[in-house]
Amino acid sequence: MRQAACSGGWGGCVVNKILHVENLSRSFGALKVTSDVSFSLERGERVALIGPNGAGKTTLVNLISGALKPSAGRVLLGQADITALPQAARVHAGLMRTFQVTRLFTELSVEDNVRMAVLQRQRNSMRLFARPNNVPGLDEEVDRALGLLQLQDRRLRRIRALAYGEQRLVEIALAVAARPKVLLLDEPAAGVPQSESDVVMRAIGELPADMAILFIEHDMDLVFRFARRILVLVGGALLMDAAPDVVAADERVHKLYLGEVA
Amino acid sequence: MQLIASILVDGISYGMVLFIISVGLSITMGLMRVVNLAHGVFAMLGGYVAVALAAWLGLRPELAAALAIAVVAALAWPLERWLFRKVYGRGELQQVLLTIGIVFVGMAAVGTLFGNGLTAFTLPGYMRDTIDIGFRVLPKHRLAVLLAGGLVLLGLWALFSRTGFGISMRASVDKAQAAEALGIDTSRVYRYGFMLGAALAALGGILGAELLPLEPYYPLKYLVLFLAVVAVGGMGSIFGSFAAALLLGLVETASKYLMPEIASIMFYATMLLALSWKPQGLFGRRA
Amino acid sequence: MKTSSSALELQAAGGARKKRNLLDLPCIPELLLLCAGLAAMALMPDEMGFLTRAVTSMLFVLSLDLVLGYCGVVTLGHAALFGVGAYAAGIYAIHLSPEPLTGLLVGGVAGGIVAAATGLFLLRTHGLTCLMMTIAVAQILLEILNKWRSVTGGDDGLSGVVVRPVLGVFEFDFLGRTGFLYSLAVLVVAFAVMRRLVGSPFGLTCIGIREDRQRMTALGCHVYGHTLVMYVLGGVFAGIAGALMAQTTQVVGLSSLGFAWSAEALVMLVLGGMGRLWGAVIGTVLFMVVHHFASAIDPFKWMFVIGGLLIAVVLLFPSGLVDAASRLFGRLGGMRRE
Repeated sequence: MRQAACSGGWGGCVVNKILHVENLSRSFGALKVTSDVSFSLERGERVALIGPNGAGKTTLVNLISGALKPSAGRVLLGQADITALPQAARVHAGLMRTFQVTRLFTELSVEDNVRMAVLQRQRNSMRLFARPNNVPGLDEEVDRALGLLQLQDRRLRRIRALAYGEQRLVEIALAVAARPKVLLLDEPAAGVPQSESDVVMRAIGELPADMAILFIEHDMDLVFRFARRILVLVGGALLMDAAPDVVAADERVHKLYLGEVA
Repeated sequence: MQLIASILVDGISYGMVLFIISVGLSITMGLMRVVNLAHGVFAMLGGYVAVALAAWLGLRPELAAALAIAVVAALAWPLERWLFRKVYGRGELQQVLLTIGIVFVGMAAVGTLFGNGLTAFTLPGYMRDTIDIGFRVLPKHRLAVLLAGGLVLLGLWALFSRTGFGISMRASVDKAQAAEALGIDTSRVYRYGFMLGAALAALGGILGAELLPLEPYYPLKYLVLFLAVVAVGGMGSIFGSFAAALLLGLVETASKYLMPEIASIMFYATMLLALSWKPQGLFGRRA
Repeated sequence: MKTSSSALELQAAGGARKKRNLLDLPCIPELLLLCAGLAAMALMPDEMGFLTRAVTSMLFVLSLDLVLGYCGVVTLGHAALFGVGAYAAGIYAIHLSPEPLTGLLVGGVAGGIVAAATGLFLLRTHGLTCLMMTIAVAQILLEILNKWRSVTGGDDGLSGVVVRPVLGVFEFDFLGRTGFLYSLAVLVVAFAVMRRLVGSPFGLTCIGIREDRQRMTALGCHVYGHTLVMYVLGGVFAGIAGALMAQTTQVVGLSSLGFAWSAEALVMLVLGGMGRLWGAVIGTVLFMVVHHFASAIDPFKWMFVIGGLLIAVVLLFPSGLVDAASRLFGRLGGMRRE
């Protein structure tokens, strides 16, 4: 991974900026889905990404996580330029994402799902003849991830048998198990019924403080509760990047959401 | 010069037969996205039913052939409705297995009715003649195959670009859900598309009976050929099937004439190379 | 491509902490297999040839299960690896050394090398393209071996593969008993190794790859690398199965690489159920029994039955007959906990 040149625009070499997205763009033929998006995250910062449907929020997450190649722009993790890295390599560099629609291994247990994630992070997945309980550190890491999401009592249940809200928690547990420096949460509360959404909210609140989190959300409760900053994405371009109260007071944002609520 | 002419004539005829049989498979695989290993059964049945009708009912070969094609197309209807439809969207493996099952049943049925050996298809008198085109004497049958191939290509092109049904089919291939939203009855489209594919296969089986002899093991024996044409040409692409069939037909024929030792290796090597270069087929689009 | 695997197998993959099932205990499944084999020998003493073929086939189908059931690679060219192993072991026995155990090793290595060489480019593709390429590669290998008459005997095949007594002690007798017991021993050992393999972190990862490749990539998994390793392992076991066949039947033919053999193995695997090792074993038994009895009557009747079974399995029991049966018994016994 090449070392990124310090860009003067950010006031010199910044060690605190753990994620830096610079002029990220993506087009499909004539259709520009992501236009010149630039922003950065500090270590441990919680930032929300909001915007109307079709604004390109998930596309942006795909671009940052490496699932999609950008047409232009760069992504930097810490000091390193990860733009050329494939998705799996970015995970090892410290960047994880979750999915808007739960993508878990439904026939396996919660424990096994988390094991998959930990094995990847530990680079232990090539051990052909070990027994899982003989892999050093595996159980500890799995316990830690399950503990963070308070899933220990359900660890042996199959995903298929869990309520959707619990499945969303497992989705987050997988991401956390990889001990990322930056976590991209794609609508963590999506599809979760009202009765279960506190659980998800609490889980997000208890995520490690040194982990930077960018979360896409429509649920404004979540957004205002956790976000220190809000990015507003409209039509693939960044409309605003400001503190929550500033965003809440902004005319344009009102128009956007008033239009939607109707 | 003689040699090149022979290669061209035989290679193109062979390619045409492959095209006529395989284009139906390309359509159904592109349309319903079902890996259909049983396609050869339709080709084989076309030949056998024609033979049976000619022998048992004493019909003229042309009539027997036409009826056979109709019978096979009719047979395709319940197959699609009751078997294939159940595995749309279920993944390659399930489709491979179901269609292998159908192949076995088809082969068993034919073997039981017609016996294990090769069954000859007697051509009508005028087809057996040859005509002299100057540098070579050409069996009229080859000419008929060439003509048929050209007509099928033109006919399909006309169907897909000029008729309402053809356009519905293309829409369903492109985006089934969007097509349904526009009011296109995709299940009808699939059904008729499948029947069309079966009918074409039957035609190819009849025309190609000299090059691909009729026997109970026909579907498995020539399966790879048909799949190769579809894979190399690109699923759902008529012109792709045409190009791929000619390419593979010419390569194999040329090798048989020039380097008979490695003729079949050349066929598979060409297929491998083509697929390595363009995994979705020469004219296919990325899924 | 989604398949559902039984709770048993996956819990075995999970490891220590759950309620242990009888089948999870070390050695019990292998002992069961051994006993079943010995029982078969006692019950059908005149059918040693058939039983030996069954055991060899089981090993082959197990190797296919690794690739297809545990990694999700759909291949119709797996027989190429079997055939390469068979020819390698045969040539080794005739020209180099008639020692059987090293012959197995030679077969396994040959299968592994060919799997590695072909897997390198095969596994970069998927879907129909991959399927076609597996067929093409197998056919090309078959033709190459066919043309290489001086070494392989071409169309006529390789004959006179005679091996020395196993471990210097167990001589191969005319009744075929030694051959059968030798094969059974190899099968049981291989089964034990495979069980360990699929219960390992690697096995778990491959299951994940089979279920959702993209999810695994998003977790940081190098999917291509893992599939390649599993494919090579499948090739090694297929090669050993081929070597075993060469040694016990003393002949090797081109059909050992053929498309029909690949297709038959696939059918056997699917009848029993992929993604569980027992499925491979039971599917093979079922198929071979049907084949043995039905084809004696009429070759085409056999095809009717198998074809019908396949259609039934796909439409009614998509996860295989073993899983269907275990679901049925589970429900009857009230043992399934959810």
